[in-house]
Amino acid sequence: MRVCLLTDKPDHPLLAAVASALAEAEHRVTFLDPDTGAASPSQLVAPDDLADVYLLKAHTPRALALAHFLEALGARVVNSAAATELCQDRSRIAAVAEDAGLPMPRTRTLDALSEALHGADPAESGYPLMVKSRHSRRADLVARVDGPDGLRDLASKWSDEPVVLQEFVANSGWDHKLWVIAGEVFTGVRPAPVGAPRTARGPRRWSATCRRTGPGSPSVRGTSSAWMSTVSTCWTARGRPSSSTSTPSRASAARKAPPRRWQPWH
Amino acid sequence: MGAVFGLDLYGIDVVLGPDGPVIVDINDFPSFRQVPDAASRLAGAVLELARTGGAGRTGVLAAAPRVPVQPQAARERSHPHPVAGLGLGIEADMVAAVPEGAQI
Repeated sequence: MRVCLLTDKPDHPLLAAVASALAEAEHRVTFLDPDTGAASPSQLVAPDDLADVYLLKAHTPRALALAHFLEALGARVVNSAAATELCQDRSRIAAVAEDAGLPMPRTRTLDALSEALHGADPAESGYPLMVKSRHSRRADLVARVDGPDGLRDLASKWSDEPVVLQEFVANSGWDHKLWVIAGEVFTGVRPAPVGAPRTARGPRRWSATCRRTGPGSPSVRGTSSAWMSTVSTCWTARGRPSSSTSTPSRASAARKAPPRRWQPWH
Repeated sequence: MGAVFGLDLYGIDVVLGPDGPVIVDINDFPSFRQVPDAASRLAGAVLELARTGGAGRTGVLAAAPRVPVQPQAARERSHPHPVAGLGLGIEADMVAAVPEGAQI
């Protein structure tokens, strides 16, 4: 099989090891830097000589344009261009999650953080709140703000930054990390880089958490897909409308919906 | 999650709030540094996804077969790029990686 890695970092340890493993298994592996040269990204590939699959590990506009171009030619891109593009925009992520009934903090988008200093109080649900760059990138803005003074300070430094304001979720101070590789789920925990003080005792492992399932719930022991479905079960919203029920628009839902309560596990 | 966002390779940050788990971040194609045998799993996943499609398909995904990763010395001989170790513990603050349920 022909595999092409779209990246500007061919020496990235993981990508290099993946390429090496594929080459050892007698697959043909190439690297392509989407940001190479001044030509249009579409000129970087020959439409009649496509790889069987492209692994997209780049987020630049040229990389996304190239990925879209490849998909238009019928090539398989992993992750897809649209999904990769979506994940760079925290405002769109929040909207998609809300539409899908996934539990995310309530999110408000500002074209520039300076807007927070004018008009209505940006902290509709009170302080603290999280302020994040709308567009994810290295060294972007992720900060907890505890009051109007803190918001003013932040806005003086990031005045023109497009941001999302998110309600702060009181928590144990631990980030639970989940990694998914084509349906196979791995979990870990780390101290939250921004947020609440940590509890002295470390968090439960997800596996232990998900083992606390009731009768009829999918078992953790078994295949990885069972593990996946158990985790998914953890995020079922109470009272979420069935698929046959019309779903209110986000704006009207925000006005009418009571505070969300999530049923973490059965 | 994968189906909602159209992702095949991704990471999620979750905090446990008073009302249950809340997603606070989603990353497409993270480093997977804490995932054991990440390179082998990713290589297998890429091949599988090329053959079968990915997040757009329906149904429950099964784990992709792994592609063996050669020992470090062999990798360095066969690949022009230097390959750093992929062992666990790169992030010292990681206190638990829990693959046991996923690897059965």
